[in-house]
Amino acid sequence: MTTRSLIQVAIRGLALHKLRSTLSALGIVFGVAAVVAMLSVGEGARREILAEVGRLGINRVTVRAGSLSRSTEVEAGKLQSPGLSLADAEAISEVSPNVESLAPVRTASEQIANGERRAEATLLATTPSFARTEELALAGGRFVADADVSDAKRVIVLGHELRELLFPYDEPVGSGVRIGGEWYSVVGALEPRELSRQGGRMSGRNLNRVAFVPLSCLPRERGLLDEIAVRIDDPGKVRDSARLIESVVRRRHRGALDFEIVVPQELLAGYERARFQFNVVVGAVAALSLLVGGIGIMNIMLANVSERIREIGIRRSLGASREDITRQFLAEALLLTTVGGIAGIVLGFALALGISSYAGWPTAVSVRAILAALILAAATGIGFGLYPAMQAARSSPVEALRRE
Amino acid sequence: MGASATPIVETIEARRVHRLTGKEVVALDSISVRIERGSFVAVMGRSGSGKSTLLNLIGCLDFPTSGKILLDGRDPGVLDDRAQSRLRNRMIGFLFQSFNLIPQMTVLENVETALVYGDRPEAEWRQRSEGLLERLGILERASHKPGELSGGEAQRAALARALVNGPELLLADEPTGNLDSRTGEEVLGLLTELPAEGRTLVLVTHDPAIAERADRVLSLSDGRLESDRRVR
Repeated sequence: MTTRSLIQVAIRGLALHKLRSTLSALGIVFGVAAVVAMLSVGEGARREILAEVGRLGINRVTVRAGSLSRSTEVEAGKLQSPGLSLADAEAISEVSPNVESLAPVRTASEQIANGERRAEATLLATTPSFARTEELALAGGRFVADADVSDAKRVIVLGHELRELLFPYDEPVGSGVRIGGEWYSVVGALEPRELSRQGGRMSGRNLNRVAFVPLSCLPRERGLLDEIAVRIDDPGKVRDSARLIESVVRRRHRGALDFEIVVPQELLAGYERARFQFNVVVGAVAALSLLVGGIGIMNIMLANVSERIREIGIRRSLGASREDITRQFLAEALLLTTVGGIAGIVLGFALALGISSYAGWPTAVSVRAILAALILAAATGIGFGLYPAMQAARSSPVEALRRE
Repeated sequence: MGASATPIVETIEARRVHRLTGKEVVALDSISVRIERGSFVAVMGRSGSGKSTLLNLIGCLDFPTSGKILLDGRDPGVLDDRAQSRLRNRMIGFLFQSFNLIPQMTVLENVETALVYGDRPEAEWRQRSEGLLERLGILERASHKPGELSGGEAQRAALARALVNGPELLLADEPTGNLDSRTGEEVLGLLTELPAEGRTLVLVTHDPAIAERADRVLSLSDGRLESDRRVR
């Protein structure tokens, strides 16, 4: 039996009772529509949260020199680790293909003074690429430049809060501040930076309380660093890149665990858990509605089979095998649920649009949701159509032909 | 012994027993007959005499409780459902008193249904079906549903469906029972042409006038073969 004749026979069979077929397919339509709409809401929420995490630095990886515990210090010494240094930064930028920008960092806690005004600050010594790595936005002036680094110029860029504390009434750029015994001239100031609501270790430091100076202003022996800030070009490659960076640094440190890798993207893990719970709920609703829809399909198919028992007998006399009969009724159930599924996808899409405009939630229909809905609908057709189809094939042709 | 000497149908001690709520009903009891290729055999008997049971056994729609039915020397009872169905499709055509056309399908689709289960290429279906409908004089009704046909037209459509695979054996169960005498005569005329084409016609009837036109008349009574009479 060719597929074409199978479909033709199924269409003819279902057209026998148009209203009955339509009503039984409605169960599938609404079930699929609900699933598609819910998945769209979920997908919309996912995209929004991804955007949020993007602001926190979804592309970021930080290699941080470990605060060595006694045992690891002993171990690191035994293994003769050189410690986190500029050489590591160079190695990372050479080896990792997805590194967009990379900045070595040294930090120190200092008091900054402008005359009588003083502020406790984190002094962050770095190179110009840090601005790109952290996506810093200047409110005025400029950031640390390459020439500042090579010449160890005493220049400073103030974070938003520091600027407000030290220069509440006047323009900082062009003025000087004092750190310990040294004078630094202010060359730039930053825009206020939105802080991550999550807080904790991942979110890093409060950049509004940081003052930036050229890396060479905080010299260390053997080019040692506190951090290497890395930006990865593709958010999807951050975890892989982090793993690669870790292996590079570990090899250079001769296996010593005297550093740690911080990946803000791992913040997503918490969201993923919530998403999993949402998916469980959606899955339960989907299973339930398709169960109800499937029972409706089975009911109708059983009625069809018993009503068309004579047709089955005729087909058997014409040379249809039991398998042919099974396939015919399975095709009818499948056609019913697939068409119902497509209608459900359209309705679900419309529902999602309605929710978007009414409740103001972002929604997004994903291709995956559509495929999943179609596969579910088809599976329902097969699952609930199989028993009636086998029932149809089981009947004896003689008995079937005798029935009116 | 050449293949042509093998009878198209041979029943050996064929017996069919139905079990209904513990009671055994013998529908057919030890029937042994040989039917030659290209012959026209009428099967007579009152209702319940086992005529239809015999026809169903020959047509592989039913199988004997004991004994054997051989079609062209082979026993379809040992085949699986698929092979039996193939055999029915290729070798056997059925004609029923109530036509048994599938109501939701057109005449052409009904005829093509017999081809759907066969293995002729789909490209031939239409031409083959329409050719046969034309030969039987109802081509202009090809796109009608069975409900729109007269009895004579319906039985001709059913005949087209029965013949479209070129079966060697045509089994007709009271094919004129629902027709008036004129259209019945027309259908009978078409049927009696078949033996001349080398096809074998087994026709169940209770009309002696129809039976007289056969080569041979088998009379059944209470599931037994009462007489086996050669008319010509």
